Amino acid sequence: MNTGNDQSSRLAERIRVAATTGQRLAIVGGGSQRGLAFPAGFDADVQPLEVASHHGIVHLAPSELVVTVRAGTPVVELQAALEEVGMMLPFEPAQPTPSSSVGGMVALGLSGARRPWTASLRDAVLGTRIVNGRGEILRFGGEVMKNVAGFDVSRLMAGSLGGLGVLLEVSFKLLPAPAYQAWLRQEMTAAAFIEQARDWGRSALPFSGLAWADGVCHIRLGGGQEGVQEAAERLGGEPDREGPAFWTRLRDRHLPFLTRSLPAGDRLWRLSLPPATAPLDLPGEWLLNWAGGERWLRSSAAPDAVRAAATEAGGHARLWSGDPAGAPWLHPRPAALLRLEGEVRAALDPDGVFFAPLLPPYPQPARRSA
Amino acid sequence: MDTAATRPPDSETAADALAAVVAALRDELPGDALITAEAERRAYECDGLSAYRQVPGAVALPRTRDQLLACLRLCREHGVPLIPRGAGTGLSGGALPSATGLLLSMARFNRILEIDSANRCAVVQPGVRNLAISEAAAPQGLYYAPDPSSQIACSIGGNVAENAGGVHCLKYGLTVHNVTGLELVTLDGEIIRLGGKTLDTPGLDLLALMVGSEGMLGIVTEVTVRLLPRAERTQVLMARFDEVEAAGRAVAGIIAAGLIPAGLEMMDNAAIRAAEAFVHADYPVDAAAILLCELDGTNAEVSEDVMVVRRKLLELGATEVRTARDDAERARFWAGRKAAFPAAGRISPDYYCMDGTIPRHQLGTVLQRINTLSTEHGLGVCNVFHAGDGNLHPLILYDANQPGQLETAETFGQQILELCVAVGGTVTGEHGVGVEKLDGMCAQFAAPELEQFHRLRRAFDPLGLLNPGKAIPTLARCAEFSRQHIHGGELPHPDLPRF
Ligand SMILES: Cc1cc2nc3c(=O)[nH]c(=O)nc-3n(C[C@H](O)[C@H](O)[C@H](O)COP(=O)(O)OP(=O)(O)OC[C@H]3O[C@@H](n4cnc5c(N)ncnc54)[C@H](O)[C@@H]3O)c2cc1C
Repeated sequence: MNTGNDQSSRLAERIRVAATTGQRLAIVGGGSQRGLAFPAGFDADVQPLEVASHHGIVHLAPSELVVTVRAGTPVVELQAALEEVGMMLPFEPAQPTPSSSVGGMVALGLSGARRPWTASLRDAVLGTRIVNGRGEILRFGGEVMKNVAGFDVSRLMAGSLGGLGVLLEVSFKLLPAPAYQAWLRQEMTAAAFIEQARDWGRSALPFSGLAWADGVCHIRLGGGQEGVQEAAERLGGEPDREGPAFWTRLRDRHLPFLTRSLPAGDRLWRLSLPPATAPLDLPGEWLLNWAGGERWLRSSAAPDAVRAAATEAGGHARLWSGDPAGAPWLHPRPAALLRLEGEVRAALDPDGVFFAPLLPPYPQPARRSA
Repeated sequence: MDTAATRPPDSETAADALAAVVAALRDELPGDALITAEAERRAYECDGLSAYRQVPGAVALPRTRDQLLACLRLCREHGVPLIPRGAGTGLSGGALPSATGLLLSMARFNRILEIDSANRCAVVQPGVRNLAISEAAAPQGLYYAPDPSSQIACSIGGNVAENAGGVHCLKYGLTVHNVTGLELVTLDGEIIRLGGKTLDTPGLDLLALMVGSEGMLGIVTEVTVRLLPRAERTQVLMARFDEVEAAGRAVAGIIAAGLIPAGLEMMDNAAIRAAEAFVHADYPVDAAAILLCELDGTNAEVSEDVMVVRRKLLELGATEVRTARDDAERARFWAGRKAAFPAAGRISPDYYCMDGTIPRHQLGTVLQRINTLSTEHGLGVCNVFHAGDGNLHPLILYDANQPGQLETAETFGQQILELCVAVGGTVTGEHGVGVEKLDGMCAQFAAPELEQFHRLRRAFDPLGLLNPGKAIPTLARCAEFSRQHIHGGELPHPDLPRF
């Protein structure tokens, strides 16, 4: 299978020109999640670099558990192709809009509800073809499951927020979609959920999701029929008729909790914490995912207070939406780490072609002398 | 680039520089943490790949972070290379010393700092042995999943540096999938923490870059690993095949049936015979190949999966399928596989373990080619591999005392790796590049990719003092390699489709 449209050389050429003329480019996939990589829009001198037309599934091999896909391909298109052969991406990506692209998904690096039991997005990346800031087309990793030849640049591209290079193709490890699923619900408080999830975590049951919203613990199980049914009996609770819809909305970040407009002064946060962390003492409402490891918070608390609480708990907090009030969108990191991230950016994009406002800045020799 | 890495290692200035570092370290380290006597240094002359040997100029065994920082500072000031070492079980010469460098053993960073059962993770120092983590977590019903065959000896720091795998990686992932946090020290002496007990990290994923970086980007000083709950039940099936190709097809068939076994291993006839003679695992010695398939989960899950796998195996050409009746038999089935390397060591004076990965559907083709090469070179070969992952470990049998045999084994090995690349695979699945597979890297990567690796390395270590000369070949070396290997514009294995 190799259909679609290969725009590799056009993209590489465009970057080579940008590198020599001092032009800055913002990589745009489907454009649907632009606010997550560029929350304040583009600087005046920045041009969008459109990748959506570089699309198509290059190679799908279910028995090899691998798919290679061009970055402009819509996530929904990829998911449909996988569903047809009984496969899935292990990290259950969001498909917020029909145009959301595979490249954007990888550049944001966010993993869905299955994360604690199967894999994160970056875990499932096996290989990439990219264009770096010099306009060179480079291939790292491959289509095989195990590969330790050279530094793992492919996984570094996951979550790189457009700041390291243009993703051309990505190869993912696939998993067979579960033959059978079950959805359960149990009423409980958030604190009880965290304790319950911790205890359930000590037994190897076939969980594929554990979330809490509005006083309800949502359980999703997946695997063989007997295994799932037996686990459902052991866990107890009522069948969750709204289950499939709930998990789809959670996956696509379409739950009202996440989409409802924020009262003035409130902010929506995404916290990543050691999962057993007791409820944090912050004002507002919570939505819990990943058995407690991912926590969404709508709160009027000051950014500093949220960050301090997350840091104290050994985690981090990303400002998702609301007034940044001068605070960074990503969790602040120590200066030495920021410097290192900057050096890594410089190694891939020495001239600073790629506009990535959420990543630390770094000195660009070419620009400095210009 | 004028760095210690490019300076001729035998030059007098390099020896003087090391002497200056050693002299200064006497004030910084306790007496037993610095080894200078030749006889004691010799104990560190090689790792698990003993064909490469070099007595280190000096050995430091720091116990504390301050001692480690002193080593880094002095080496930086004097331009002396540092070669990190864990337990020295690496199979690619990644910890091969330098005559004018300081070998930095991390063996004394050997404390388990925390078993956090609520968050199902452990925080450990890098010198802790892989198996010791699972042992410490066992009372809580938890374990650390990646299980290299060397797990009683190898260190978690070495596992991180090599992205080590094991027989359970098909389902539970490699080191990279099971490490959520690292503390490292860069050559500048900066202490950097990446990740922690959370399931993701903010900013660039430098954690992913560190795993598998072969000691070239920083010294790992602390590791946070995920722990998994022990499965309620584990079952192993052994299937016998009269044709190697059928065994390969069965591997694909099991996965196509929607199952990811906890382990799926294959051994060919030579490996079966060697293992059987050594541990009496009750293997069928006349089989062309056997598959070992481990299934785990709850009682109900395992009962269900055993039926599915059994049916699939028979359908796809297995001539016999045995299910282990009890734990003792299960242990016996595995004993043969786990003893495959020492078993090869018993039937041949020396063996050379290769480590390529290929797409699973190429298994039959690749095994046939390996057998042809084996006949051509007149050297035997046993094949054991992580079939589920397509990760091959051909063991080339040779006798180092026979003139020329080591060289022939190396040529044979290089040809196997090129074959792996040619069918769309890689020169190393889990053992790393080290010094051994530098030429293989030339076959796998183009110059701009290698140059990108060098740039990334300089981002962490601008002086090029951490483990120089490993993992990433110089462009000059690759130019020389291709001059020797591409005759009249012809690539090796011209008849195979390229990817
Ligand atoms: C019999 C046998 C079976 C094996 N089976 C397997 C297997 O099934 N799967 C597998 O993946 N491997 C296997 N190996 C290979 C080996 O055990 C692994 O590569 C292991 O991860 C090496 O760990 P080590 O502590 O011995 O590291 P070493 O060999 O000491 O060092 C390996 C590399 O890590 C670097 N390093 C070590 N510690 C640090 C640190 N703290 N910070 C930075 N860099 C560091 C070194 O510089 C070197 O480059 C096997 C080896 C043997 C001998």
